[in-house]
Amino acid sequence: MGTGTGSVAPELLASLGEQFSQEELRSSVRILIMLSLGVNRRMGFLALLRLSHCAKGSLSYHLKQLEEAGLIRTSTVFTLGGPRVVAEITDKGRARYSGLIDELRRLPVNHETAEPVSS
Amino acid sequence: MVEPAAKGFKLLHSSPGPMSKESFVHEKEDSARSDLRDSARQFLEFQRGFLRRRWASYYAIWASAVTGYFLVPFLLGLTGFASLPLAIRLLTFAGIDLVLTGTALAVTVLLWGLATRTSDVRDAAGGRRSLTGSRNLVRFAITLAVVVGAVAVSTRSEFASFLVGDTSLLILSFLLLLHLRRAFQPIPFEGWLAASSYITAAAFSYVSLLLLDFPLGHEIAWSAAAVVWFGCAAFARFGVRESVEGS
Repeated sequence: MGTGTGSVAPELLASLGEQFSQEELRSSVRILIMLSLGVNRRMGFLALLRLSHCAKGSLSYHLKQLEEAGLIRTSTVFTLGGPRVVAEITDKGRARYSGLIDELRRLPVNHETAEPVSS
Repeated sequence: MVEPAAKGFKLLHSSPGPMSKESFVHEKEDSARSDLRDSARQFLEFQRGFLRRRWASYYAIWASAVTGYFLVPFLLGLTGFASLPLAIRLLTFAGIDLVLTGTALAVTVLLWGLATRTSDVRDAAGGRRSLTGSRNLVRFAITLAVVVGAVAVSTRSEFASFLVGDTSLLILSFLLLLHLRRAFQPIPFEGWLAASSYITAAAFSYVSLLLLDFPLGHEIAWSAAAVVWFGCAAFARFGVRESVEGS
């Protein structure tokens, strides 16, 4: 692992397969949202739009998928600028986020550029 | 928005022809690795602007706290406060300092937690822990500050409260540097400015109190640092081009 050769251990592959076989993480946008909420805990809809470069409807769909899986919860809060939708990670979501970080850590890396190795 | 993972899986599941176990495994591997890697990279790019904006509250709250330490007693002195019993005055000042410091520390803990978690993603994506040297340097700096502070307090006990305050804020500025490093690589302009202004203010204050016997220097130094921090907060909040809206 981490030799920069691009080879992946079978157990990593199995683990990645398990992570990505779950419907809620079968999308790069949802992975991105999970990473971001895992770190920031709570984010507004507008910030998530900026993050994902999605259309509003598309982002709503992804948030709904994650919410139905119990990974996040959304709510409307009232601010001086008007009502805003915020998304917050749940305990189950935090566990899934930790899994993603573990997988990321186990991916082979090119240590000269500190970038994960291209496939 | 293109969704490589979703497309990849649709293709895998809808392939009409037989697919060898090896090619299935390779496609799955590539898709999963590519998604995770790209998502982490995209997240870190976004997070830099997002965090800079969040960090503005940190600069602002500490600038407000430092201003409050000096300004509130001064303003109270203009009223009939001085005629109150000493115990009430001391309790009032202690209460004000406690509220200011407590608020600033609460924001600090939240932001440093955010910085640590961002650093976790960066380290995981880069496959290494890059802060060992920084942590050792900060430990050394804090130890040095504690020793210098203790010696200073023991030699000039009449300025003890000022010197303890200077030492605490100096330690805080070293920890700030460590957490700025965790949150951002590289540290943004306003981060360097904020940390260096605190270190400079602490040094100037030490010199004023210990060598020049000039207590006003302490207040001038920290007031100047507070002004710089308000400037850093304004820049981080409104002047950062990659900033984001709404959180």
